[in-house]
Amino acid sequence: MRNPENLLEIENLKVSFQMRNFTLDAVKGIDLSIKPGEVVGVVGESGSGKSLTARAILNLMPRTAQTAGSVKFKGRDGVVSVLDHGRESRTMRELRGGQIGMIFQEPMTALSPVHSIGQQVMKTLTLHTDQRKKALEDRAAELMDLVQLPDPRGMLKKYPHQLSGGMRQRAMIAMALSCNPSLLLADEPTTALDVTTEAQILNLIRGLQEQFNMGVMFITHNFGVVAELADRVTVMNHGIVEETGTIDEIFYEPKAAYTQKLLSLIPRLPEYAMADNVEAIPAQPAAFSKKADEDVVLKVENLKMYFPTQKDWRGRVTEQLKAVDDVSFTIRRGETFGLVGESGSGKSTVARAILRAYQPTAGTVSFQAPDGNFHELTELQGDRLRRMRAHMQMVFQDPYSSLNPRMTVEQLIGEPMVNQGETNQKLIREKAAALLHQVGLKPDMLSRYPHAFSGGQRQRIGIARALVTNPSFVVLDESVSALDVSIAAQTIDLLRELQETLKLTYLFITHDLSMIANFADNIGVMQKGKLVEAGDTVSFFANPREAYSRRLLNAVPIPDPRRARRLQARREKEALSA
Amino acid sequence: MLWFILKRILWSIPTMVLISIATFIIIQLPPGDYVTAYIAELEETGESISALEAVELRKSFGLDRPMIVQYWDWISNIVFYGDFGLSLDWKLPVSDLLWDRIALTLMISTLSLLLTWVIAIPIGVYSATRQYSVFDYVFTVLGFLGRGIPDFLLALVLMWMGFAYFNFHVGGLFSPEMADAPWSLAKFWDLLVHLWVPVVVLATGGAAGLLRVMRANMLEELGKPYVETAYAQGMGEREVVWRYPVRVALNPFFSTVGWALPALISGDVITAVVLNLPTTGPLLLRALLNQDMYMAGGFILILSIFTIIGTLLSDILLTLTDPRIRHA
Repeated sequence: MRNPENLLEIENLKVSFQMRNFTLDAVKGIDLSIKPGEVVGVVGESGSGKSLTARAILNLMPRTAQTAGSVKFKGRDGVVSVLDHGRESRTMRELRGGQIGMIFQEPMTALSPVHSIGQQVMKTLTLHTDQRKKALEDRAAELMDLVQLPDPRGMLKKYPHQLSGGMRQRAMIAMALSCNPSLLLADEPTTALDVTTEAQILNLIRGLQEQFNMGVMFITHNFGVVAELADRVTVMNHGIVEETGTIDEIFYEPKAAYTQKLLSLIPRLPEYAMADNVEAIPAQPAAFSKKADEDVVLKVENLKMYFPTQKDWRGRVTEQLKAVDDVSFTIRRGETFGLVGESGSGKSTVARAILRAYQPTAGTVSFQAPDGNFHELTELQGDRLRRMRAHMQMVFQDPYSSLNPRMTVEQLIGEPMVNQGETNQKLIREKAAALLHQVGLKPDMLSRYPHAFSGGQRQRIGIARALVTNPSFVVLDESVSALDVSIAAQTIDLLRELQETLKLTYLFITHDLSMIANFADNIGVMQKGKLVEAGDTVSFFANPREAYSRRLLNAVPIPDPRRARRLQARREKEALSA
Repeated sequence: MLWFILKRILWSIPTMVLISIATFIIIQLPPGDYVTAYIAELEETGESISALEAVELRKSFGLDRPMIVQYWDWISNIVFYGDFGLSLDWKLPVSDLLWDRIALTLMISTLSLLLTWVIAIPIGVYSATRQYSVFDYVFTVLGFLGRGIPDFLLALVLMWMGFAYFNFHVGGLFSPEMADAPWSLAKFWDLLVHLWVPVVVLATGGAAGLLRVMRANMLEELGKPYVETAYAQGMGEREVVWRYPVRVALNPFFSTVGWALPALISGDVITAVVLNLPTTGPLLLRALLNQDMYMAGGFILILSIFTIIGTLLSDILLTLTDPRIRHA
């Protein structure tokens, strides 16, 4: 080891894959070190090599990986040079789980579906200790208690599918910590969680890290999470380290151009959020006071969408899930209505009920078509419904699964036109080419298939497809959530530009409050199927009325360490006085 | 759990009643009846019977009564006395003909199913964990060959080889001198000597298909994050693979046990005919050709009951192995 104080020392690590006719350099010589008790945040976009680096520490890379450089870990029995030991070697197996714990992104799939939580935690213990049955169970229950899971003994008998995402991630952490590791690798452990759950898990990790003085390597694409947790930050990009520094250095004096760019692009809660800076609250724009009724494009009233979950033997519904329960709101021409909420709150179901992918259980949805007439969407059927669909379109979340891989871009974009009865191929091609140009792609890409495009490009194709029938109303369902920071920023810009030029009205469904704060004119908050609060964006963020909205806003990770600390202090003071 | 099993068993009762009715209707569907078929057979040999005799014949078989009465007689005898009626063709009680053959069929089929799994599962796991290795390609080629060659052809080749090179008596399950002998160690040995050909023939095709399924299932499971978690806990490869993904990949197997059971009895008629096996397949074929309605009906009913039992077994096995189903 260069520095005897270090717990982990990575020097000039290179990982490459030999492909058929080229070599893919995934990690191109990086240096990174972690001291005992230190939290190092590793930030980067997808393809930056951050996850692969974590796997190199455990020597768990894909079998075809070729490595160079060194990874040294100070273990209980001396320094281990990880890459010099075989993947299947005894030394490595003892380190994994025994001295280095790892937690993963997907709490749903990262635990075995056919073993109980207890079986899985105790498995780690039996691999690294000589404890017997009784002692094993005691230790496992103790761990459940440590990660603050209720009813620790009963928890051991549960299976992953019986737990919520947050509880699964706690169980995962318990497993990783079971043998008192000195280093914890966390690969996007909160990315798949809701914002309030994320805040709890981050608190838990921080608490445990301090309690056991663990070194932590925290991999994430989210600067907010890093700001809340890390002591030092390493920014990675395309397999190299752009820069490493203390948290304040990275956030307030970034040296690398890449870091500066990323920091400028990440969506932030406005200055005035949670009345943090009262002077920053902008005056209401004049346009907002004029709320004439003729401007209404969509009026949703008492919308209900229930799904039967249990039927008796006669087929009568005995239990139902109230996915959308009495929701009303209006959207005006040219505005963006942001519908926010945690997963399962019913926000996507609202959109699908509006677009009549579902037949709503009750309620009305009146939509003003471009001809100026209002149509009651819940009553339209057959051909009239299809014609109305030309005016309302949707852009989906996942750019990978929302495009049929067997259709060319021209077929994909043209499909809504074909559905509307257009048969003139030349017209379809011209329109598709024009739209490709409009979303910033080249018209000569028409004959390609989706796999030839990156995630951001695919999302642009999805947007073009939604616009091909000249709709006036577009639902954006988490349409930028799956994209990297810089790509998401570009896509948002594109959506803004299109809204401006095409006079579009958006219903933007998202869980990302920082992003929507800078985009939407009005905000609606959903919780368990109900719309708990709705209002204009500025008043909502400056002074949310409902307790749930406050909780949601409080949980948003702030990519600004000083502000995060200030808010944290205030939160603690509020909690004390309350 | 117990309640779940009980509920399933209770549900199977009305299902069986419906199936028995459907069975009876189906065997009545073809135009004519056994007597028509019998007359046609007689005419072929130059004999004939008068219309009056035909009526008498029908009466004596009870074929002149309304269908619902015939059905009730048939089903009540089965349920209360285990009497499947008289085979019109063989002039023997159906149950005498049936049970012997079903026992042998079950034995052959179970053995071949076990052999199928013993071959397919380890090879499938190996092919998936060493994807694109030399042996993966070898097994892939063999798999497609096994899938592509019809069972009866393989049976013919094996019979010919056994006969020409090893001087075995092939075909049937017993040597001619043992067929009617009472059970003894010698007869059992004779059975084993004959058994391997049909078992191997039936297992090859199945194994070839199954190993592709196992390979595909495993490839999907191996890519899942929980496998990586298992490695990160410190487990070795062998333990990770067999403890985690294999268990999940086996689920489709458990859920198809139910189909395997009836297929065991009705399946591979051609192979059974070629190998001259005293199994149920050829018997069912003959009963259907001759409109031997009680024989055919008894068969179809038993097949259906096996289907129900098989499905029940699958359900129970699945709930035992997959907690996600148990708690749903």
